[in-house]
Amino acid sequence: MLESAKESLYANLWVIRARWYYICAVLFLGFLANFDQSREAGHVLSAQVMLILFALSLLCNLFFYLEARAIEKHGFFGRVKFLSVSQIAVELVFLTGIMFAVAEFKTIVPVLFFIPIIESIVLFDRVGPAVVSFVSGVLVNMILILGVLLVPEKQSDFWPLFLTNTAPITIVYMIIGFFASFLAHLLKGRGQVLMAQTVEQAGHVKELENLNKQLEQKAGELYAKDVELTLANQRLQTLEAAKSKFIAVTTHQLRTPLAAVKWTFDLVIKEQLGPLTPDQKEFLQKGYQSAQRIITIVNQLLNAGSFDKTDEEQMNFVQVQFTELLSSVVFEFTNQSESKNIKLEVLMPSKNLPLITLDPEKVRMVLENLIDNAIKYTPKNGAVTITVDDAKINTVNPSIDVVVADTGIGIGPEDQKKIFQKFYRAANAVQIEPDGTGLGLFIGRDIIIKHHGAMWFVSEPGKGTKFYLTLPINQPKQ
Amino acid sequence: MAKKVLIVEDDEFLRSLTAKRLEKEGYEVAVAVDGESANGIAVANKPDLILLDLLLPGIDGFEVLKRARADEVTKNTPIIVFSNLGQREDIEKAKGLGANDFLIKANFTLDDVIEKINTTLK
Repeated sequence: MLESAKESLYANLWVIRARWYYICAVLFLGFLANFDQSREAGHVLSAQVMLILFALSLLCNLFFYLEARAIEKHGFFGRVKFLSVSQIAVELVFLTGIMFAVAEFKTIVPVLFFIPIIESIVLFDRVGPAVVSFVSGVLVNMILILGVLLVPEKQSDFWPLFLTNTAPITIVYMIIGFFASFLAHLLKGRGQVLMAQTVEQAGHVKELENLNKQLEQKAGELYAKDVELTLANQRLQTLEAAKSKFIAVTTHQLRTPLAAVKWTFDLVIKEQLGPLTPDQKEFLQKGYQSAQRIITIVNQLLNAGSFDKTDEEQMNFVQVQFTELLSSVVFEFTNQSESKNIKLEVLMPSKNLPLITLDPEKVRMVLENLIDNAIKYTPKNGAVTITVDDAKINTVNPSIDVVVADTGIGIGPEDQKKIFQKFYRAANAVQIEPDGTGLGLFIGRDIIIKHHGAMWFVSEPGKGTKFYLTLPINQPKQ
Repeated sequence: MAKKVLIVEDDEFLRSLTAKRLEKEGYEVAVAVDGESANGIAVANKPDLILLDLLLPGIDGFEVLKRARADEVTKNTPIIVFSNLGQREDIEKAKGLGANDFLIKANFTLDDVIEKINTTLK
């Protein structure tokens, strides 16, 4: 409502401004009339009267102007309608008065009354122009009729004049009124559509502004998150490095005294410091095995730590006589197997093996782990047999096969699926050896894979297990 | 003539154990307890083999190794690095600096070490 009132106000202001000009035009026409020689006495407005009328009309327009500005300034939009109506009304009165006084310009009369009609199209909706047209029509007719009636000579012309002029004039004004009101409505309609569009667009703009604000906010949040994450990542990396260092330092520090312990036990058990009773020997062997176990765990921890950055570059490949390596590993376990009365046997191929490219330290770990497991999980009086097979030595991809077979507790079907997983320990294994890392097979298999070999097993619970290793003779060139 | 072995090891217990074992085996033994003195003692004693620990006070085993290989007297002496450091980088570095072999103390018994020495000096 406010918008349409505003529009109306501006329309009023436009009319007021236009009026300044046509008041002057009308005055000019009036002066023209004065110079017309064929005027009839008494029906001509003298120049003074015209000037007075001119001044009066200017004053009225000024009044309208001030009122319009007041409305604009103070927002008295309720008064706009009144302003429009008064403008038209005053104008009609003025025109009527002038026309009546200057009856000569009959032809001008209907034309001049178009002015308020046009104004009403701009100022009003449908009804206004129709009303103004009707009123104009009436006034025009009135002027014509009175012009005739007041002139005694022409009074006899009244009826013919009435019939020939009034009817057409009335009809014409009605038609004009119809079109005017249609036009006014069209204008208003257009205006409303434009306003609606503007409002809609303003709404869109506001929406977009909102979205933009939200986006900026989100961007800010994302940026903060990014900074947070970067910091967190840095912290994690620092922690990771610290953890690795800690494990490395600790395990290295542990290894020295562990070596000392192991050597001491070894020395005494081999009776190099004097003879031992069987009981003494048995207990010392247990001590030695424990020391060996700790060393194995420490080694595993060290390697599990470094396996976080798994890649083949960690392998230190050298050419090794495998049989020697295996022998030295098996040798480590003589005490352990003897104490459980387990037969520990190694079956080597008849021919000498060629040198194999491998990482001796890592492969040693794998062999130690497999043999350790075999002995650990085999009850007393069992057997652990290690076989080296060179059947595939002369193939396209030469390799050796190693089998570590035991007569132990075996691995159950459910456990078999998970046995290579990091930290996984089967229940029956835990029963025998409560302390175990569950890392041995995980690391072992990883090492063998990095040697481009394979590791798998076959097992029957209660009967025994066979672990198979394949190691290629050569490693691919880097 | 008995072969001479120089043991460079800072841990007293391990040093005396190793020395005793070597003497039992018939070797003559010289000892150095830190990196500083190791090269000097090596040059003075001219051992047939050096057992070198890497974690030493003062200058470390790598440095000793480097200096030994730079010195006329010891540049061809077999050196077995004999340590509890076992990471691949360490082994590489030692081999790169001229070590003949690398043993991790905790993984071998003294007997293994003796065997290694015997083999190297054959």
